[in-house]
Amino acid sequence: MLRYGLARLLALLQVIVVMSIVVYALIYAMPGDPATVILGDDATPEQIAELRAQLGLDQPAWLGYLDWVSAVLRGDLGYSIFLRAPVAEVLGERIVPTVSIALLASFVSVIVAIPLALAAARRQGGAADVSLTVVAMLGIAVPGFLLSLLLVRVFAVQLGWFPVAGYASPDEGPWTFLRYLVLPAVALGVVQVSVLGRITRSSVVDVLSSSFITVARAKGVSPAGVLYGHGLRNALVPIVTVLAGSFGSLLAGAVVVETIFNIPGVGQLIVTAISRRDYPVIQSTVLVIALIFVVLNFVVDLLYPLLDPRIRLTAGARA
Amino acid sequence: MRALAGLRERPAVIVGLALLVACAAVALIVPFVSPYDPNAAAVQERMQAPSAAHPLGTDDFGRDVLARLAVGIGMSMQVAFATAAVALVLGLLLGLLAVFVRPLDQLIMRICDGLLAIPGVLLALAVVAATGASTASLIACLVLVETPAVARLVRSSALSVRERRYVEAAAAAGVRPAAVVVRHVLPSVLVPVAVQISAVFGSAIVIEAALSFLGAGIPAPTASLGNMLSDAKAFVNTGWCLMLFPGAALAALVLGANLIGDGVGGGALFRLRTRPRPLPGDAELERERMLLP
Repeated sequence: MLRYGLARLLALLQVIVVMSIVVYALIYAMPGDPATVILGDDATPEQIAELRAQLGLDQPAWLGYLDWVSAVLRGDLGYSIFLRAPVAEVLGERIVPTVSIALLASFVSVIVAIPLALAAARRQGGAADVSLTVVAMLGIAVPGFLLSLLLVRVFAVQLGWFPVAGYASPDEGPWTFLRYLVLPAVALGVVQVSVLGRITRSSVVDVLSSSFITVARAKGVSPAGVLYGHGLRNALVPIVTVLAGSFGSLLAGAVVVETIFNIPGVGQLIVTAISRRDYPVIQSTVLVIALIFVVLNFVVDLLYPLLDPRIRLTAGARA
Repeated sequence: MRALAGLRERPAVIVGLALLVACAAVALIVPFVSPYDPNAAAVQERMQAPSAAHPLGTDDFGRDVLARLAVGIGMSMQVAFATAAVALVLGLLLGLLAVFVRPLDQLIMRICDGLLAIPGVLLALAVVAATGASTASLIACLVLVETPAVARLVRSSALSVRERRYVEAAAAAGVRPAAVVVRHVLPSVLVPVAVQISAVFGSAIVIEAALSFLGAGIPAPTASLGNMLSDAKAFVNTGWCLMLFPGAALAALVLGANLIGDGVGGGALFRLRTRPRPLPGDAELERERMLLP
């Protein structure tokens, strides 16, 4: 278990190093001198020199990278050029709605996809199976932001069940908070149901065809016991893998969808940052979201042996 | 002929092809037939419902929606085709290099892992933020987003082929390494890669639309599905049609690409009664396979 954990940790660190180099190197993809591009034509040479120093462009690239990394490790994500505030502070505020939407979307997808997929696996070709296929097709064909527009049209404009746009902070009570997040979360959740539902269905179908299920049935375990106790239990690893593995795209999806609902999250932050070329904000936002994603997947990797004792033996022995 | 007979057994591929061909037809034919300039504003004709003069109505600048839709579909398809083609070549090259030039394996795969750790839309946003929005930089950033998954898939398919007897035999018989790769390894890698490339096509269309939707993609006034949807966002109360047509086109393109991939790969998605096989392109499944030896 310890060796398995250490091997995973090593892999995590490798990924983080490469990912951070990519994020840092992006500034060198700017045509011309980044400081001049960011500040525009009417900046004085002093301002440009100051920004070059601030961005670490006045030293060799690898030194700039090391400086940046050590700053990030100390919790310093740089200073926003246009908001005139530390990026860490701004991002800390803006990330709450974005992460909430992604979590809520995960929750929505779990409560819809798992029962649907179980019913679909039990009666292949039945009503649940057909609806799962329809949802899967919908989720693949219709991106979250398009579905959001449709949901706003129907549930906010036509029916008036939810606010058209806006955001309430969690301090204003959980219900108000949730009311504003339901539509964006459902929009992303449907996309997620398609992924999660397909994986759950195929894993449960796979499990149900194995011989220990026949044994369980033969010794008189109830159909529900077989489905939940053996089918779902053994499908947990792929389900959790998909949930963690798609959390990154949920966060990215939340970034896009937020802008439709005027939610003051990371999406709005990054879109305004792009139009103003506020590079430190873009860099740190991408870094933080990618970090959340890889660390989550690392934690899930550590959970596998708990979910499936067979993994402890094999992966532990290998690593 | 054999390919055609195979197609008949795979209705998903036919439906998918039909969707893409229909979209391509709109993009190719409308500009020649339509009397309207897709970017010409005519304020007195703004926000019209579909009519004989404007089959899909007009937008908030009085521009003909059909003419703009044709340009938008054309843009999406060009960007996605270019991305898929470049990602295919680069992915094959990197994946095969990783398998057959062992010192490069770790390096290439670690770089791919690092790139895959950044969610696609965000990576694309960050690249466009640095390079500025243009069609060329859009394609470049989509290639950067999509290639790692292709390379990893090529690597994992080629790895399993490399150990097969016939590859060993060919090498032992003195066939040049390059010829072994091209003649014996490449063919068996192609099917999973074809599935992945159609997924790349679909995903490139979604990411391009998302970027244009956020105002970081195809620069206005050139129409794209994303910026048409973004324009429609302001008229969600009144101009229902404005979002309907680009939305439907977007869905048709993405669904078409995925149906083709699904059909070529053996149809895990849209076949009900039989046991589904995992899509070879599923990154999650690949992860899981690697974890469970």
